[in-house]
Amino acid sequence: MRALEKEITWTESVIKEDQISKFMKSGRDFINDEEIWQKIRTNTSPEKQEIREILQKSLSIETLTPDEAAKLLNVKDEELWKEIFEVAAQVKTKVYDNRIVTFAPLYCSNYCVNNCLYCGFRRDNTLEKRRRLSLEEVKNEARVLAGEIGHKRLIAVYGEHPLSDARYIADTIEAIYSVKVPTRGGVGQIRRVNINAAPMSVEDLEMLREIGIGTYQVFQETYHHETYARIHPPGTLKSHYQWRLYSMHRALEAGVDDVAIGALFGLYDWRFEVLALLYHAIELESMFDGVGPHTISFPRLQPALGAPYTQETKYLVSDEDFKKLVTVLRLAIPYSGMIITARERAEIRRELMPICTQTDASTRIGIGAYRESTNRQESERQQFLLGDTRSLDEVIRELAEMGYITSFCTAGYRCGRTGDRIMKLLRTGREGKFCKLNAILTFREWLDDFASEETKKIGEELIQREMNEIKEKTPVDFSERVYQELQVYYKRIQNGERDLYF
Amino acid sequence: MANATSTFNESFLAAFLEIAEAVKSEFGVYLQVAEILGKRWSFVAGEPEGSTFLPSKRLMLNEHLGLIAENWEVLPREKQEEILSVLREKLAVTRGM
Ligand code: SF4
Repeated sequence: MRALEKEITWTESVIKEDQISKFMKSGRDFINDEEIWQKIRTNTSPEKQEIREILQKSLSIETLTPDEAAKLLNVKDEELWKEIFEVAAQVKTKVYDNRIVTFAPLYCSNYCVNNCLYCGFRRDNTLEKRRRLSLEEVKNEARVLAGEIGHKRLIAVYGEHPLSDARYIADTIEAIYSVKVPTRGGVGQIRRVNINAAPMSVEDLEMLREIGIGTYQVFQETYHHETYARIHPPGTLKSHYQWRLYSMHRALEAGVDDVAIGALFGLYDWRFEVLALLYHAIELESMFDGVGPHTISFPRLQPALGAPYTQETKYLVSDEDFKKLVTVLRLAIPYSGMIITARERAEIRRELMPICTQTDASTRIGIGAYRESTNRQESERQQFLLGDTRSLDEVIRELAEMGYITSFCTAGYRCGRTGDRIMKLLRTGREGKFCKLNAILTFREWLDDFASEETKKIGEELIQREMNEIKEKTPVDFSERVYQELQVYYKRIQNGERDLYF
Repeated sequence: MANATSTFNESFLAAFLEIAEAVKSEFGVYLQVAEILGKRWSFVAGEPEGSTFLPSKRLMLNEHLGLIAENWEVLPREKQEEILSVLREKLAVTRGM
């Protein structure tokens, strides 16, 4: 009873209405369902030429308007879709080069006060085994991730509950950062911790900012007001649509300057969600000096134990539509990172890799699962089931065979490439150059510390090609000095130094 | 960003921007100021796009603020020291740090 009372008191204290209303205009939020539908309904049958002009705009790394994005969504010609996909891949390369950043999710707690109908962690799901990791257990997870698999970047995930409040989040992040593990050639360490956590007050976000979180990620799940109300039962914290919608406004106000948005596709019509994500990006850009979402996620609804809506929904997204939605997002918000996760099957990930920037591998989403479990999926301690359980080594090898270099770079946020600065670097295509250099250095580290012989061989061939490319681009894209410095850093890493970056 | 600006005042910012502009045009050195938050160095002010792609040097001005410098090595040592001491002084005067 005590615990329940405490939970109720805590729940009542979370939402601060004044931290929402100040951003709203005439009592309305920035998602106008009618307007979005009107854009989708009126921008039908676009001319080929019109579409090509939109593609050119995207190639110059300008955010599209909702009308332009709606036109892309309404293209029916499959040949034209191929062209659209190719340009989306060019946009990705222009902004981020051919690198794919990898990360791993670290689920810290699955206690949750909410009751979302599509989620295995929901309060009423009695089949779920509840657990919150102690700080020592968090460190144990980080030891496996940093010392055995070789990850450098995590996204720590928390349910919404007093047991996993902002203080706990801060403590877990510090615990993760404190871990150092000897590896074959050097030291393994997590260098960037992003978080996926519930909407918070400005005060809580300020505390997290002080300890140096990476990116703060909150998904709206669905932007459609009515659907949102239906699947987030009244009386729960999460039923407050605007408290969630304005999470990123509060984060940016608190000085957390890398924010990430997303929608859970399958809850409502995918075309609506794509346009709503674009409206969200435009709203942030206009309110915060051009700072939009650092990344966008587009998880697809997956079956989950004790989550009835995952079976009932009529909005599940087919593979074909999924490819289209990711493509339009890539083009509509061209500077933003795009995360495709292990929720998706290997073949879908393969197909979408040309337009995505980040992915996870060796993923385990059970609480404590990196340390404790085999690669087996356990529905009673996972939020959903994964579509791809391959190891990081396998995924990296495949990416290398496809010509993509896996990057473990975490340099940007440690040398001021954050907030409006990173936005400008991305929009001008300059960040891509840092990406290229840092991908080589961090990939070399990983090959020496963790790769299988087979992956190492393929990886080294890829590095050689990357080096040659940089040489060819010198002195036009890179100065002679940059090229020389890269050689020096590369040798130092081969000799056992770690964490050198541009 | 909103909070970062509260750790120093306008006179520090004005001094920094003046120095940044001068070293950019005279030496091709690009400077930014960042707020230090754990591992994170969060951009506050300066040349947003950088230019050299060389590894940048991170220099602490005090426990909250750092200077990020591209091409720092080309500056004569006395110039480097002068820049750091002017900025540190400004911070010490304005915040008592
Ligand atoms: S989706 Fe998030 S808030 Fe909803 S029940 Fe699951 S963990 Fe809790």
